[in-house]
Amino acid sequence: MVSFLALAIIFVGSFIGATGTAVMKKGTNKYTFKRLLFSIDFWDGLFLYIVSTVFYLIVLSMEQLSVIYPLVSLTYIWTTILSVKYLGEKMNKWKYFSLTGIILGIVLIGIGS
Amino acid sequence: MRINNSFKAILLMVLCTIFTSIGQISWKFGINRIDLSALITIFNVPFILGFILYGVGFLLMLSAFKYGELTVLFPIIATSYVWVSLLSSWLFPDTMNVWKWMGVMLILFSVSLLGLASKKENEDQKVMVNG
Repeated sequence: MVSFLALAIIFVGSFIGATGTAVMKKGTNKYTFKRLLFSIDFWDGLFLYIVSTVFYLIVLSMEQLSVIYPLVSLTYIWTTILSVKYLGEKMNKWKYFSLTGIILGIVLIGIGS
Repeated sequence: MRINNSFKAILLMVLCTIFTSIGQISWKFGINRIDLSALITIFNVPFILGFILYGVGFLLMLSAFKYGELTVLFPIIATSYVWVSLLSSWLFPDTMNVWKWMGVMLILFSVSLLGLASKKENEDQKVMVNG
């Protein structure tokens, strides 16, 4: 049985990671590659990445990979939601199909692990 | 053939996953060499190499972001599950099974769909511009 604590850590950690990605994407939309490395967006994003990695490492020590893999694929859902809500991107049926397929694929790899 | 931006971004993302996957395998080798009673063993070649490979992968991801949408590009990171599964089955025998193979195939298929999704979007935009 997965502990509630592990679930909570993955839930929050994956959201923080997805926020980091969205912040960096926003940075790449605004700046050239060189300017990006000196921008606040880049360092904010990197900080959020490091925090989410720490969350991930904690869960790795608590649960088995077969549990963690499927749960970590939450990141793909968060990233999609953030892209639509804050980056003004649009979804289409192909994107929904492939997102569902990727998450199912990760669940299968998790079952096999 | 003219390579459009979204195709370039997808290629950069796939390249990124190749680097991070080799990075993960490298860490796996490096961690085995770490002896907690002699912390200097943290500075072993495969462990450090893992960080360098991850760093390169991260920079490739950032450069890909410039040329495409996050809803298309981010899920491509799942391709790393495919590389890591295949590399591990080659380096560490008996690690693959039916579930993992099905997962690998489904991820590959879905990531290809994403390529199609971005192509479709470009065509829609063209129609909008021309119309």
